[in-house]
Amino acid sequence: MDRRDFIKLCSLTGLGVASSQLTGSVVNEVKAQDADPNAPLFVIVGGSGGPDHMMLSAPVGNVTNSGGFVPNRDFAPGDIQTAGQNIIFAPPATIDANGQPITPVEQYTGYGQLLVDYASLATVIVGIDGQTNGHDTGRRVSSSGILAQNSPSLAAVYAAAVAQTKPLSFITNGYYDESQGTDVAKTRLGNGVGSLNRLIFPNKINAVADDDVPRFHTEETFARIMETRQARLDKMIANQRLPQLKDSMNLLYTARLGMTDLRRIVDFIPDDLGNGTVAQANMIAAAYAAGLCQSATISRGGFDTHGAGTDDTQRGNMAQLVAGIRQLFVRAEELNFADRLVVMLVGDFGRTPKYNSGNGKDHYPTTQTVIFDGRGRIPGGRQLGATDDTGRYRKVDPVSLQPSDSGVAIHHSHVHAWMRRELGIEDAEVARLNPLRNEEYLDFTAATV
Amino acid sequence: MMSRSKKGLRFAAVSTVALLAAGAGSSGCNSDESVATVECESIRSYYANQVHAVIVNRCSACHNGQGVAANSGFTVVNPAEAGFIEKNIESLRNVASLEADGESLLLLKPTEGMPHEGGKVLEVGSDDYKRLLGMVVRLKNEQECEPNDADVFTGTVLLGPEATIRKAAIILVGRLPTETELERVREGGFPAVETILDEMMTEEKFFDFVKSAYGDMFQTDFYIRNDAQGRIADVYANAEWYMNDTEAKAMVERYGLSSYEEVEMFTTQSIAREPLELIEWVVKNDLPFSEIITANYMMFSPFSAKSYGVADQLEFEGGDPMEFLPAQLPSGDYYGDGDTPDYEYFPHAGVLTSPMFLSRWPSTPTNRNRARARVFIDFFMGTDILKTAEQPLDQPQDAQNPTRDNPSCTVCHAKVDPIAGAFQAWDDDGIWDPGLTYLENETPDGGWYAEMFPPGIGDARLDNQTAKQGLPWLAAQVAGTDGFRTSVVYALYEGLTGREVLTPPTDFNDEGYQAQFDSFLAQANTFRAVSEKFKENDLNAKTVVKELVMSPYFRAVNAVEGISPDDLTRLGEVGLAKLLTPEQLHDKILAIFGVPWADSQANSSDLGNDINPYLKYRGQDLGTTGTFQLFYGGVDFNNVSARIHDPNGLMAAVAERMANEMSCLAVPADLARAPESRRLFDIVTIDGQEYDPVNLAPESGGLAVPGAVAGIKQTIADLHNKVLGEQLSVDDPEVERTYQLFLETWREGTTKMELEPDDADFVGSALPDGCRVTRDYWTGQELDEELQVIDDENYTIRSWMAVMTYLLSDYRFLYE
Repeated sequence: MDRRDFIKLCSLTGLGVASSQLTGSVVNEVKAQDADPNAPLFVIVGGSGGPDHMMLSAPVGNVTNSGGFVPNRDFAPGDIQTAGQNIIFAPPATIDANGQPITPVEQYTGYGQLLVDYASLATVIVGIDGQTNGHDTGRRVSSSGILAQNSPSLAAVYAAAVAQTKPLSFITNGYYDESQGTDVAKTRLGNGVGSLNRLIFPNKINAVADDDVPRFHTEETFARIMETRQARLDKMIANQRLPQLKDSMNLLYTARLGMTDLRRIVDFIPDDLGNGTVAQANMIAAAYAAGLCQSATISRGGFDTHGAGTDDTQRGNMAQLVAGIRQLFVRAEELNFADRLVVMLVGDFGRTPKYNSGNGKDHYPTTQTVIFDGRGRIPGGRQLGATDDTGRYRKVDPVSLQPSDSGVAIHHSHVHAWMRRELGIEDAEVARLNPLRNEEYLDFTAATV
Repeated sequence: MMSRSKKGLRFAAVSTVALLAAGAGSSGCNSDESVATVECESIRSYYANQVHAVIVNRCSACHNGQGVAANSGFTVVNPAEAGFIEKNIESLRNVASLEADGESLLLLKPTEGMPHEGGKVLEVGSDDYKRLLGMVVRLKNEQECEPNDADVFTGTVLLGPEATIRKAAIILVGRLPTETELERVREGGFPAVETILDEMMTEEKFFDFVKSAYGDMFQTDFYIRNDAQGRIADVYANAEWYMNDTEAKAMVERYGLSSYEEVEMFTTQSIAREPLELIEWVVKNDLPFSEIITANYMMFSPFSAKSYGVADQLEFEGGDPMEFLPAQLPSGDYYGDGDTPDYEYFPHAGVLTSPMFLSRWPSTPTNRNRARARVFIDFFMGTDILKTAEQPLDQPQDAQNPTRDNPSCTVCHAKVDPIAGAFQAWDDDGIWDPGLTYLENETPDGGWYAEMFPPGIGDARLDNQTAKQGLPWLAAQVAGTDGFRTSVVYALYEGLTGREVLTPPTDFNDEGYQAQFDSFLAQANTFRAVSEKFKENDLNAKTVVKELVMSPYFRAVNAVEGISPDDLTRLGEVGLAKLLTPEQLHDKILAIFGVPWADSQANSSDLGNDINPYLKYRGQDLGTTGTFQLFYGGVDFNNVSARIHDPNGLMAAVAERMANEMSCLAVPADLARAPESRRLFDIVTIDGQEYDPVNLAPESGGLAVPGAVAGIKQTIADLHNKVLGEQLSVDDPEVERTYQLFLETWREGTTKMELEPDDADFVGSALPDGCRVTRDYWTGQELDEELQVIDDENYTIRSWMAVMTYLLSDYRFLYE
């Protein structure tokens, strides 16, 4: 029985299910059938505040451009570096504001070095017209492809389509994590394992893996409690008609599914968890390897650099942010799922192509997105889209994706339509319930450079 | 209401128009006149249901404050702006009254019946034209019908008085209603509910509720862990007064503290908590809630008063280190440059001039207080200005001054920048600098930025002299407005429900648009009514809470059978399905069991000090969080500042663990007490005979024991009431379901007790280690042997533990 048939059946039998409000057991039976154990882990990595696209893959250098201003101050056009077939990126800083060598250099080389190291997996899409200067809207549209408020993140849509019933199906570490309209609950996992054991073994008084320890209830009783509770919840759901209340009951139901499977995560958490985005990546990788998680976000702020030192701050924060991506791939190799990992690097919007009076940069709607596809399905090493020498997006031909003044502006909705297809969820019910609004499909996979 | 004959006369004067409108099937009032044959509909309702889409689709692109028709005399506001319906009706009313040859400009212009720079945007006779026509008819005739919003909630099933007061008590004051309160409600119905709500709203816990609602917005608790005193140390030399051992020792002795570290802790959190304590002060004293932005004072504890140098002004009762009293900061040269003129007083404006609030929402030389202005509009005017820019933004052209000249930017900046200017006398760190010293190197003349929209709000401009004390001026402009009242309703609704307030949908092409809009409108109408009551009651915030509690958004528990899908969609936000916050769940557990979910075997006679609750901060140390507080969706305002309102797998596991630990902790302990001291397991009377539930075995020799079964079911019904608030008869199917759980558990246990000890399934007669009662929970003292509970030879205690785990992990326990 598919989801649509189920809704139809409910309506015929008078259950009165509205839109995505579904009743527990039957739906989860359907979900279990839908679940693909080899579905990749999808992670959105977000830089909050508005990463400067001209310090990433739309650099110009310290020359006066056609707008009459200098878009980059600390490197020349000739310093711009490359990776893969045609990916470009701003060079790392080598000296600080006082002219002193930067130590360690690696701290400021994150973005470019990542592209060099993982060029074969990377598709860089520059010149995206983000259509907003607002932080909230920018995070939303870059994560969901939709400007309207409360639109669910692609990470939530993906989790809902592929593995809604996994106990930690969508792990959030911030940036944008709306899951409304997907029936997926987001989880904040934290960076620790100490207290996790007590949650992983809820019926063991001392909460250790050992079987021979005292329990609150016999395992038979504990199972009976859960069955009785579920039967009561099923009845409550069936009798409830107000959408919000029914929704909340369904969410509790799905939250409980597979709860006992939480224990598997312990086996995959590394001894040294690390900090910041590295720790976030380690927990996500562990949860995926344990079969508990399908999608996640990683985030770091500090990109809203209106003031002096914008370039160094951008580099430093981006290095910290992409350290999470690198760690994801490192752990994916170690845990044997590198060929099932897809990462999307986004930001709220870009920054102005000129420095303001405070030597910072303000908000600017042109931005970029980078996809790392560990599956090899999307050809890597490519940079698509275009910006002009003022950092502004250029329209592209909708087929060749080459710059064309009579073409179309690339919007986040285009990137998301493509990603939905590449993730295999464009026809999923949850995707149809949260439609993107594009006049045309831009095939970033087929485009050549 | 106007008389019927008068209504008819007025209709007759515009009969042609009215007939056309009636032909559109959407206007007119019930009357004897043939022109009006459909249901009476208020102007507000008619605008919302019929005209709003026309205005947004046909007019607002140009006729907005920053659009090309901004100076046409007809502008409308964005639906994201609080009160947009009323504002746009007023704008329509103004233009509808202008006529040429007896016809309204509202109809002539868009049809190009007279010159219109936007060209023809409507065809005469089209559906949209008829909708506008209907509006003109209503406005010209001042035809108003009573709103009939009650219909919106037709089909909902609402909580009765007793259930309402229970739910309100748990959420608002963290306790269960007392038996006396329940008795009053049973006798007095909803009027009694309202009276008891008034009483509850004088309790300390209620003030915590209001502070939490605003604390989630302000985020100022960040400074509890992040050097609050450091934020003011540049201005107030004694910010860290406790470094003086003599002074610190005096406070240790006066307040009975255990260490100097506690002196610093109370200082830090008193400074950090000051804006929220102002909110408590205003609510506690039934002051107009607008004082949160207009108060000519701020709040100090005995500890923070020393930091700010105002201790001499205040007389604390003593005893409570977190007692707060109001005082004014001394006048003087706050910027410390010696150049600025002295002022008679510090220009307090409630939380707006709070060093914590201004620090939490800082500025920069290029941001120029815009972020502060944005949160001011959000927190105190009920409008998320960023949502006014939801529509796709054209790429900014290279305007010389885009925030002033580019429509893509001015859509927000025209509203934000003037208010930002009102903050100008407070520097980027929040320090009052009336001489604008901090700007000396920023602008040519050292004054405010000339290229920005001039300081002010709306049509009101702020002159240079007043700008030196701009925030009191700004607060005064806003305090009496609909927008301020709306912001309060929004904040308290979100605090009460954990739900965001609906905003109108903007995508008219979405097939769900109308249903979403209806849902929005139902909520907006309710909130408007609440706001009116708030105004009538002198801006007493308790009115808002009470009105929201009495509304279907709090009380609806279901919809009637057979309700249509459309009606259900309209009721989409109706009903409270609030997953309790960690702190609320903590309070509920404590209220029902008398002990918190916390480290067991605690050793303290004082809950406030040495207990480590798992779901909230420890004792009076606001800088801590419980072990499971963040796992359960809570916040610490340091690393995690946004709550999670829907459960996930990990949160479900927290609830599961809690249910097991609390059943283990509370059931044996309750059964160990003398019957008159119990909270959970009352003595039951069956056929005139009294039984202790611990002794009720449901079967004997394989046969049911009817009296015992009846006693168990009576206890189960009682537990459903005490734990879940469900009032069930003993023959209710849910009681039967719970009984079967008890029975099967008892059968399983008694059977396994009969097995050989070396059998893998054998269970002994003793309770699991950890669930045995050998010590007093609070004192840790070992109990006398006769009071200890170690054995469970009948297996009834463990059967009741199973029932308790079942109830504690139930939807109705975790949600309200």
